[in-house]
Amino acid sequence: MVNNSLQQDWPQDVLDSIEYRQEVAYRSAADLLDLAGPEEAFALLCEKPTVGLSPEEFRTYISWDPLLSGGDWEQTKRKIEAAERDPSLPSTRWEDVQVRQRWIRLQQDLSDEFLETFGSTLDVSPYLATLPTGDINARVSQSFSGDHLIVFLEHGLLRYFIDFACLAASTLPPITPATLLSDEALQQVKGPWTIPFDGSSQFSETLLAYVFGGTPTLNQQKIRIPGYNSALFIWLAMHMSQFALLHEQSHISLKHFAERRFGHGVEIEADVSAVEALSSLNSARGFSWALPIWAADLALFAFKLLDTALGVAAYGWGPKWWISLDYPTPEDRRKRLRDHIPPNGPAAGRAALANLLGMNDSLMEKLEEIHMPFVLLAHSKGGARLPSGKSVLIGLFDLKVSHWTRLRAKGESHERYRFNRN
Amino acid sequence: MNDTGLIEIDVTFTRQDENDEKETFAVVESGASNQVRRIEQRGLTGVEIALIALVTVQAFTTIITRLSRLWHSGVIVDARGSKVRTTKDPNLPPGIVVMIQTDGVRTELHEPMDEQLLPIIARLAHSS
Repeated sequence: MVNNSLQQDWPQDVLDSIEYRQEVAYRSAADLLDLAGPEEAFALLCEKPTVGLSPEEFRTYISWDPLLSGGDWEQTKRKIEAAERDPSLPSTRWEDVQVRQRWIRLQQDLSDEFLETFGSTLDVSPYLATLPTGDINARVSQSFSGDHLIVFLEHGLLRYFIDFACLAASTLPPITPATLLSDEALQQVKGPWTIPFDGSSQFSETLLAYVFGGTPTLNQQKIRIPGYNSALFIWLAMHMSQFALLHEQSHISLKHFAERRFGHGVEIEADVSAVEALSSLNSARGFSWALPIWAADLALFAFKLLDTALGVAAYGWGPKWWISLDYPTPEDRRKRLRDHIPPNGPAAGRAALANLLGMNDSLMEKLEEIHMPFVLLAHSKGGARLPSGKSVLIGLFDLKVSHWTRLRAKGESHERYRFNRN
Repeated sequence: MNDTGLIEIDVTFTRQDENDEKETFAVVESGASNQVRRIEQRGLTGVEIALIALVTVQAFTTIITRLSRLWHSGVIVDARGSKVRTTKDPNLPPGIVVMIQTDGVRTELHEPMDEQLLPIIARLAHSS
């Protein structure tokens, strides 16, 4: 299967469809920010500094020196260097090439790994494009003609996964890079574990920042990653992102578009299909079968956390009326995914997964219980606005924070967007 | 407006259930001069449908009037892009229609009749 995103010539229908949707998104951004038009919003939102880590610094940073050496390292280094180069792929005038390139690289790496491991690539590789809002979302869309499928990835999705993986790495017990590779070793990660104060306080700060401040743009100041869990952070961020991408691609490969199937069942099917593909790939490559399933559970927990916090911020403990009845809640998806864990998994993998999911339940959910009252407190002090729809809410806050950041850089104040802690 | 005097419209809405989609499709189809193109978007948090069609000014007026009574939220009609985009706005109460001209000028109406909407949509079509 050809990776459509890497083709030098994209059909005009695909480019027209992407351009139209992106222009609509940037125009909405301009309206929210009181800017003259979509061009100004694009200029504002796509001004990002580069990450700037050399391949060698990256290798040291993630503590993989002992695990990634010789030929493996040379191959990885070439991939990192290639990702830095402009791929000269077709783009619309509204494309944020830097963000898109991250997703294309993720898609291509997955395809290569499937080919090397199973002798065939993924069933589908749709065109990838980005949207500028802070919405924590990805969506598959038909092109205008209906002949092509495009995956739109919101800037906010990758950022949220990166931030949430940081928080998980700050909260969970130390897990060495070698442990992450093996189901046998992952079974041995044991409690009790006291959540570090730094991890707990970052959790609270980040939750409040997302709900009342909005999604930060990529490459803004990041959450501190504990040195002892930097490899865990990398693996979780990667597997959560892969899960989201494969979830969307599964809608295509399972013919949900072609057969016009909707509802809770198709979302669960897409979740299960993505997780089965990732766990079987990892297992066949001699890595942990359980790790991608654990990361998928964490990704769904991350969505649930944000949904709950946004609901509490807007209404206290009131109903979440903006959630579509046609769509399962993240908590439903999490429960159903656990019910559908592939029964043919290796015994060691299943034991490791039970251990890891237990940690999610005992540590991550505990943090939610501890910190959600702070969101409620902020709500009671008038710290939030009513959402006009979940995506609009998050996008709104993202854009306003970006705007605020720009004003602050100019030496101006914009107090009305700041969360009042008093 | 294109050379044949038709407006290209995009009616986009989050699909609540099957009935919601059928009713909206029927309204757009009743006024369309060509076959309505249905563009589906599935996200991590819901399904969105875009209906693309060519319509006359008169037909578009009727479509907006009917949607303002069908949808359980306000309606935004935005003429600033390459297509005239119609969306639900849950911030607005049901029955409210906000028209945005190409120059950004906004007009707000409550449960408008065809006669009220027609001159506004005619202006909007001629400037797009």
